[in-house]
Amino acid sequence: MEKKEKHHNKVESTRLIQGIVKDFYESVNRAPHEGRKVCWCVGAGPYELFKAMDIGHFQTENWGVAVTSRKSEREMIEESARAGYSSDCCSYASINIGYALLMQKGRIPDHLSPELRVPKPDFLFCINTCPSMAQWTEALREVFNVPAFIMDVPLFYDDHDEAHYQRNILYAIEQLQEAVAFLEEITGRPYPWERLKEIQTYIKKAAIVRKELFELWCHKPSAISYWDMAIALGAANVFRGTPEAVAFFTAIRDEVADRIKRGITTVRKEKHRLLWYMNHPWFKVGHLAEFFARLDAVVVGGQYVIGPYSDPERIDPDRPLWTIAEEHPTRPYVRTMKYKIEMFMKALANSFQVDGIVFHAPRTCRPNSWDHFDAGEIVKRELGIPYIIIEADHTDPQFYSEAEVDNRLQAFIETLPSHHKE
Amino acid sequence: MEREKERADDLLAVFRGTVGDPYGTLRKWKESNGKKIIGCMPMQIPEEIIHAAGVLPVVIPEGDGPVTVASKHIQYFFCGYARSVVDSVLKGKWDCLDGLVTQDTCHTMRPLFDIIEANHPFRYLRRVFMPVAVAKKQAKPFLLGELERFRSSLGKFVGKEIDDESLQRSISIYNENRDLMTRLYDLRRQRPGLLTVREMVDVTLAGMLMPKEEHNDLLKKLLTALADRTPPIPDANNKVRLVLTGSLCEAPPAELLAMTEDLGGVVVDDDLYTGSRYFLTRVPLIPNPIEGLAEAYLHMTAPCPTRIYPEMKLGPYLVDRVKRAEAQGLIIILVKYCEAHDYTYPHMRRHLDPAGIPYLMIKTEHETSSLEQMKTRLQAFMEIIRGR
Repeated sequence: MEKKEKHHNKVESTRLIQGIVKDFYESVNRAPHEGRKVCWCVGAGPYELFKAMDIGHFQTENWGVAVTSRKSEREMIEESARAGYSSDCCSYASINIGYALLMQKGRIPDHLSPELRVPKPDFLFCINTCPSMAQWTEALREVFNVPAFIMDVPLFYDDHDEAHYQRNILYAIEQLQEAVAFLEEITGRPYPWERLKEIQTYIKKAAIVRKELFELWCHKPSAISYWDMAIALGAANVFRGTPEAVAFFTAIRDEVADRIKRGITTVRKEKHRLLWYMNHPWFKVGHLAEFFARLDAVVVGGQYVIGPYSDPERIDPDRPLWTIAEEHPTRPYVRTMKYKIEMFMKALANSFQVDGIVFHAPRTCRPNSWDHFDAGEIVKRELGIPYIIIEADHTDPQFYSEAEVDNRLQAFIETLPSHHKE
Repeated sequence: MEREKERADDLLAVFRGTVGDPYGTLRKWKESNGKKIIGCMPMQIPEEIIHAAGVLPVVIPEGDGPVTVASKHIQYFFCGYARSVVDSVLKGKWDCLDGLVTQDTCHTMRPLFDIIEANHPFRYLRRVFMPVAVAKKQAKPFLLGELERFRSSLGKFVGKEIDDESLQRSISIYNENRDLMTRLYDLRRQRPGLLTVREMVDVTLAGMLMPKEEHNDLLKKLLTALADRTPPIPDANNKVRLVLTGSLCEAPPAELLAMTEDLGGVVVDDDLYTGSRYFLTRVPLIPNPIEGLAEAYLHMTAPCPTRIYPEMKLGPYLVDRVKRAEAQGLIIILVKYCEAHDYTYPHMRRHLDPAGIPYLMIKTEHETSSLEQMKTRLQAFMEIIRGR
């Protein structure tokens, strides 16, 4: 069969994530058979805390991404709806709660990949950066009747008040200390601080490599796109803290450095550079990469795929809970719009030298749909960069209209000035 | 008798007038009193702190009319309450306010502050973070600090420190209001049909839009006047006894309220935000009034779907409330795109079903929804109950 020509020149090393994902989930699935506890984590949280205790854990959102990428989400969303959960709720939650309900009935869909058939939790952990996370966790707690630890994350609403910032960090640390005690009780073992230090050391090593990668990422013309980084995100997120994650990012960094040296680019003709704001339709990563590339456009960067622990200076394995408290509870969802405009839109727009911004408004996710209108106007006014808002969804394809999204994006790109020099 | 009946109707007309035109009512109040007004977004901002500052706190109701201007700032899949409030603010309807305080009630409320700050800021615009996991031991010390910051910030705005004595006084006034509303609700439980459900919601809503001292005065008069009122819903004993729950942050649509009665029901109790949830939790009068406010918030009588507890308590709470009211059915009002409340619906069912309590879930929207469909479903629900 004739191979379809690819316009988006994917960074080959990102394929290594497949092995990492498979190994990770297989380890989770082995946990009950190996006498290890299983934790379902709701929210972008401190997975290293569980990793240190060899607790089988995964992030429910990351798992949802894997499910929808393999087009296995439908029955789970339907089961969730049958149970009375509105389809207006976060689609990550619908998929996950639906799976939990099907699991209790012994009806996990046959077509679900073996590694994604995660075992029942012994406990739940939630970090409430996105306000829905706690309610989602409550729903799981009722399905499984297991203990749940919920970390309440306050708003960082005063951008200039250091005392306010420190108070919030202290609130997080106190809860993390409580979380450690909770884990000791669940596992019946004292907390292995040395092991946590080892994991955080790997996170720091990976952060050093990623920092170098981020500098290469901004290169014009692009040698690695937003979509490549999206595929790699898991290794900065739930799969972090291992030598494999360090090796993974090292491979990507080296490949991108080599591309730049040899003049290999993401697209042949780079006429337009775009910033993507907040999350994206995970089930359309391949399609969108190709779509933009065919129009000589590259989505070069975006905050969402930077992932946690991007600054090695803020990772101190000798201060493990401070390190965690300064990272997870300070994510974009608890920041003011002004902060996000400065840090995640203007700063990145300048670093990546973009011509336009695409704001994704996921239909079932209000936190990722905040700010778009006003922030877009402010950035346009201050930096002269036009924007478009695309309504779709991060994991529920029923809210994605390909024709509409493609048409609108194409129309937007056609309005952008071209900076490509022949 | 006739004179007393008229007085009850006159008093209820005052409430209706306030609720029917909150902007006009507050503008006039401000012109006559020359005092400041600060708006509070629902549902748990401690108004007593604002009251103690000599300012009138008002809870912002759902905006009227179609959402137009706000659609350039907030997507349609945010709840109608939030969109309508942004719309009202941007249209200048709330320009009588000197300030606005927002709470992190849910992920729809969170960005409202930013939208308003960017487009139509008030002279005083403030966020208060009320901890979500209310039972955690860290919640209280954090909340105490948060409330002290709020008190201090508001004091700077009004140019005078808000002292403990003023705060205790305000708490007492608010507690009196809670006691009077409780008596009114007790009266309705004893004599269903004595007020229509719309009249009762008006009483609560009006209380959110006027000084509590004034509301207390009207309530005392109303309680006296109601003693001899001829019930507007006669023959309540032959009606289907209903409890309404939900409709977080906003009043249920007037059409729905009317339907419950037009179709042969009588509302004997409620668990609405613009109902019992607003006044059920008394603030303890303890030496530290900020601590009293914190305690009240952390131990709310009615479990809030937007807050997190060691175990979900909403289901058992509703079962108990329905049984105490000797009601025959529960109408669960879920506002469309109210995600926090959506998550609790299966939990409610898990408790209502074994308790044998008939229930009907109705989704409401700010935009005109299918009233005929709502009526058909409600009618069928009533018939099922009557047939039991």
